Amino acid sequence: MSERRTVKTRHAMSGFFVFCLLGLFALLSAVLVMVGIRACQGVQAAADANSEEQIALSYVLNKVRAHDVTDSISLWNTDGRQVLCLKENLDGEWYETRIFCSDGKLCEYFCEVGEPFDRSMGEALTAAQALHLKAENPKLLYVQVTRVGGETLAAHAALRAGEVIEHEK
Amino acid sequence: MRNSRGNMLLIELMIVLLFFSLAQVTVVQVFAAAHQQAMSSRATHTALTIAQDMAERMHGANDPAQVLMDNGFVLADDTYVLEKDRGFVLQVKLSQLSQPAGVLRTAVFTAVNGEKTLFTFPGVSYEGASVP
Repeated sequence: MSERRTVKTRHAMSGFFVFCLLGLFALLSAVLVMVGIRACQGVQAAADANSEEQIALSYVLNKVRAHDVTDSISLWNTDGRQVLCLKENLDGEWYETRIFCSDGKLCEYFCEVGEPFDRSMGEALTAAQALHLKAENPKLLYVQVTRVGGETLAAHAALRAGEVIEHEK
Repeated sequence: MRNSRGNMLLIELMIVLLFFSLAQVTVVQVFAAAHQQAMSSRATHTALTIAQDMAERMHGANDPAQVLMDNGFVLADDTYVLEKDRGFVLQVKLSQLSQPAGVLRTAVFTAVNGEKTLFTFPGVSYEGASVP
């Protein structure tokens, strides 16, 4: 009778051990999945931030390079904020592209030369807190974009043909 | 008979656990590799941004070497080196070819991470001699 009880207890212990082992395995698997999800999200977020943070700066620099001709690039100061103005001739008419920051967005406005400047008229391109431009010399333009989080990104554009003209408006 | 069946179940469970454990080790390695790849990609991107910015600043500058020195590069064995705690070292090798028609300046930018070369690109600028 006593021997039978001992065998039963041993079986119960064995079953409990297997159950514990499986439970531990399930727990560790769940932890691994959570760690994996977090790692994946981290990699994805880093990749997104990497590309997104460059969009505004790359856009401005590419626009400057595309308009690198004589008397085309100018900087305005209106209400203490800066506007990049890129002039071009289309079918004999002069137009300009105005790039500026307004309400946390990098905006662009394409219009005829001489049209009054209105900050609310621009088309929002991407998120950006501020745009800072400086002509370090007439052939070297410094562009700094402040992201919504406060992080700044800056780069220089060396002009091959044009020169930067600064205006106060 | 009963005891044998119990042992078989235990062995089966152990095999399943072993299989899943190996699968988990593989998954962890994949995640580690992905993280490493992301870090390497970010370092390459940052190095490329700095190199492009330096190339732009040096374009048209009278003394490209001075531009590099002003921006934290250190001269070591004919190569200007920028070491930052960002997972890469940026090297710039300057050379120039002077001719009666002008000067052709070349700056070769190389970013390295340990033994691995992340990228190499040349920046060339030409300064024509003034015609009397």
